[in-house]
Amino acid sequence: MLRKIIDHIEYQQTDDGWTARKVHDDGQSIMEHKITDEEIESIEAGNRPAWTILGLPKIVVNQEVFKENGEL
Amino acid sequence: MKEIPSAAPSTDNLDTLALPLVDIDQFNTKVIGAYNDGLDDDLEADLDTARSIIPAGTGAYRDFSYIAPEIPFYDPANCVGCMECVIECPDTAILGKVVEKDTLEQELDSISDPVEKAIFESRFDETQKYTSIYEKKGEEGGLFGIFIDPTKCKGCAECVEACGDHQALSMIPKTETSLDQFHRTWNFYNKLPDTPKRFISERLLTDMMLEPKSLLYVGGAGSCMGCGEATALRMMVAATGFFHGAENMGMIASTGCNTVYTSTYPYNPYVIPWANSLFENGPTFAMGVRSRWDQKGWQDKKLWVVGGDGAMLDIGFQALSRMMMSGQNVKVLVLDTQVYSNTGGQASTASFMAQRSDMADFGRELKGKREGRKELAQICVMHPNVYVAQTTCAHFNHFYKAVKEANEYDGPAVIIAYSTCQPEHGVADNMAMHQAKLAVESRAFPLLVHDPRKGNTIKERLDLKGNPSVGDDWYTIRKTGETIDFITFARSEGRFSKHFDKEGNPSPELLASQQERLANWHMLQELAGQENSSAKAKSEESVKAKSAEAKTNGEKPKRRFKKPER
Repeated sequence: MLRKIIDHIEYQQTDDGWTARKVHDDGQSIMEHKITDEEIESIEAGNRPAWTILGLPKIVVNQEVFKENGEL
Repeated sequence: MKEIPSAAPSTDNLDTLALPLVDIDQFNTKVIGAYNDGLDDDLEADLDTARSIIPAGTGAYRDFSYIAPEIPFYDPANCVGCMECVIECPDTAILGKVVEKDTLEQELDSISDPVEKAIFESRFDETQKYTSIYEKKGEEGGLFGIFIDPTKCKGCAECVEACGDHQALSMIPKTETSLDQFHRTWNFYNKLPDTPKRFISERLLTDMMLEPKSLLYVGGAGSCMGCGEATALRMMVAATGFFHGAENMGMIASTGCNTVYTSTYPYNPYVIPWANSLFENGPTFAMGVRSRWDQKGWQDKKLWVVGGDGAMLDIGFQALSRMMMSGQNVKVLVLDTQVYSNTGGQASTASFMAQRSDMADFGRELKGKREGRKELAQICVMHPNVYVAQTTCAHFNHFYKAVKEANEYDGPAVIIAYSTCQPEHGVADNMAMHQAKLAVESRAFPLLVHDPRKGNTIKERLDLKGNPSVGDDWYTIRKTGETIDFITFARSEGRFSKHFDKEGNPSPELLASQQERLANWHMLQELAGQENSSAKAKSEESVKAKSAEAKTNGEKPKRRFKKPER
């Protein structure tokens, strides 16, 4: 069994609201990260989601790179 | 006439020996400092080195930050506080903490850097286990967080495997920035007060590593990434420390992997006293220590002996047997890797039949080990009044309970722990727990507890609880219908890979090994008085078939009992 390595975190706005998924380097998308309204507001204000500040994974919002890997 | 000096040194002055035996501050600065800076060749020979003494817990100063390219990435929103990642980590590189909300706020108020503050705050979240359950009781709930020590993490990803479907952990590539943040976050964890006692239940064994008195193995050991042995050692000292205190335990280690990686000079991961003499004499050494402790009135102190299957089943088996017969209050932890791991993987008597290893290779003439596996647990059960458990770290409640009971038992106790050895088993670094579970499910390594306090017969004393489908030959997963047998287990490990052809069919030798494992399981079922559904079904079928045959032949069914005599 391969080790699960995060490639990026993907936030997506859908008709049912926002979703957030962790995507591994093998392309596998795993369980959705639970999101709150404050988290979305913060992202919309240009901030990296608080829970990703330690580790600094790449953040993709609506298919666009929002923060690169290692970028605060 | 000249007086001949006694061969044995006098023990009269043992209690007045000049203490400390080693200048700890000097050791930590001079020796550890030199090793950490790569200047160990410049160290002069001194008395401390000559005595082979390493102070307790020096492993804490070892820095593995630059070993692994990845580090665990934690998602607090998905964490349920199960503590499995903390339990299974072989390096004490991941720890949990519960804080009260006010305490966290106070600590955060003292931090001026907004990024740092955001990181630290984001590490904690509410969980049902530590928050809502307490709130429902009218108490203030706590916030739970998981923290990674980047200096101890070797990047094995065992914690990610342990987290499993909760998916609160994944691995992430390290960057200079993130590594610095991990260091700072770890320092913050250490600054926070200990988890308040009210959040740690003695009944919930999984939570014991929230308690500092359980953290008696600080990491910094030179064990392989994901080593199954190291987790077993951590868990044993944790359970003993949790219930009896670090000051009430000591350990003797038989030479093997375990002594090499826990005493790679100058790093010692234990914060309890321990000593090593030879490969084969751990239990004998322990008998001497026990005798002296008892002389001093230290009957309540717990003494453990640790060794691999080479030390306990083969070369030191006589010493173990003698110790068990002595009835002395010595506890034994056997790190069963089914191979001589330390010397490069030679077959031991604990190796499985058909397992490929040095001295039992796979080739034209020989197809792995020919003999069956020696079952130490059954042999120990046959020594009178010995507590025996066979367990794995993956079955953490079973493991902890066994250590607790062994410590409470007033006499010899032997715990045999299945220990994944990544290089010798041919499995990935993150697979220790997974393979240990599979070993149990496939009857390769059944769980058992033999407690002499439970009755006078083996049936009363022997408990097979924890094994799946305990009344069947093999375990079948209800959802998928898949049967987990020994071939399933063997298929998942490199040590058996040569037994499968291109189509994945097992060799006759491996099939024979499967039969040998089944026979072992049947023996355990019989000893424990456990009815086997397959055997029962076969027996009923056989009776029916005989009856049908008799009817076809026109025979009268035979009487199954003697006619009473008049």
